[in-house]
Amino acid sequence: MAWVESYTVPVYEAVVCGLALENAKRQEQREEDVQFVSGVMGYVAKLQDVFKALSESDLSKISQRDIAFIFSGVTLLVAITGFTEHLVRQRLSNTSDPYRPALQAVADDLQSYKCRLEEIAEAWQMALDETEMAEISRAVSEAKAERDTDEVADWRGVLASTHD
Amino acid sequence: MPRLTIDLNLQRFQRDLREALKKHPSIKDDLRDTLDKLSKDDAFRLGDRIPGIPEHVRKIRVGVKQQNIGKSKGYRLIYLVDEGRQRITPLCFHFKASKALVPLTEIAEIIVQAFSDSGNKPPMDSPHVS
Repeated sequence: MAWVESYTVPVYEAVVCGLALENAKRQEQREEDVQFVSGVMGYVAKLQDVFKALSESDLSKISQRDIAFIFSGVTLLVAITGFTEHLVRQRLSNTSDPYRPALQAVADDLQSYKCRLEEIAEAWQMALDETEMAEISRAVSEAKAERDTDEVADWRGVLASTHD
Repeated sequence: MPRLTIDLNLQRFQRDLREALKKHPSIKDDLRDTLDKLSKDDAFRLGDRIPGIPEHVRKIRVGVKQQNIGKSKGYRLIYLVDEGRQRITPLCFHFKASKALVPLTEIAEIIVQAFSDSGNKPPMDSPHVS
């Protein structure tokens, strides 16, 4: 019996030690996943703040300098969001089960947020383009001059009757 | 909420639309879909407001479905929103491939410039150790 123990005990000690190591590795991976998911969720929450702020603020009296500054920030967010989405997708295959569906949903959200940010950046870029702004201002003046005189015809009819 | 009125009669917009129809006859269908969405009181939420203009002017992308031109490379419909009258007036309608955004290095310069103009240190500036 003593002879059996002499090789059984070291084998199972090594097994326990190995399993503990594996368990620690999994635990570490889980903690890393939690940290990563919470970091990404924090970024997503900040992006939602950006969308809210830009859609609810009065943007009519903003200076050109501030437009340039915000445009730059939004453009940076386009790049960061694309990079973050890439990171999230790269990580998906190595993420432990409970976090994978959440991370997949976040990756899809980030993709649509990136498109949204690109559209916002485009509007702010227009505001920095003097030629574009001059054209829009002229069109606004024309619209104001015309709107009091003309009765508004049904838009579907007007669209149908417009030809090249 | 009542439906919004859409005024398509602005001469400038009519001119742009005729130009668009020469290039992409099917754009009428895409524009109809977009205007339909806007008319269902989404005009204040769809698209993006263009800043720095006293009036409420917004921009929305319109793709050309029949020719597989996506929204990002399609048309830009710019329209005036009159919230009081619940009316929107399309102003311009341009075909425009998405402009490349400004390179990041240039953006970094703008940010540094903005901070130095306001007397603040840019966030990327290393603190000086005396």
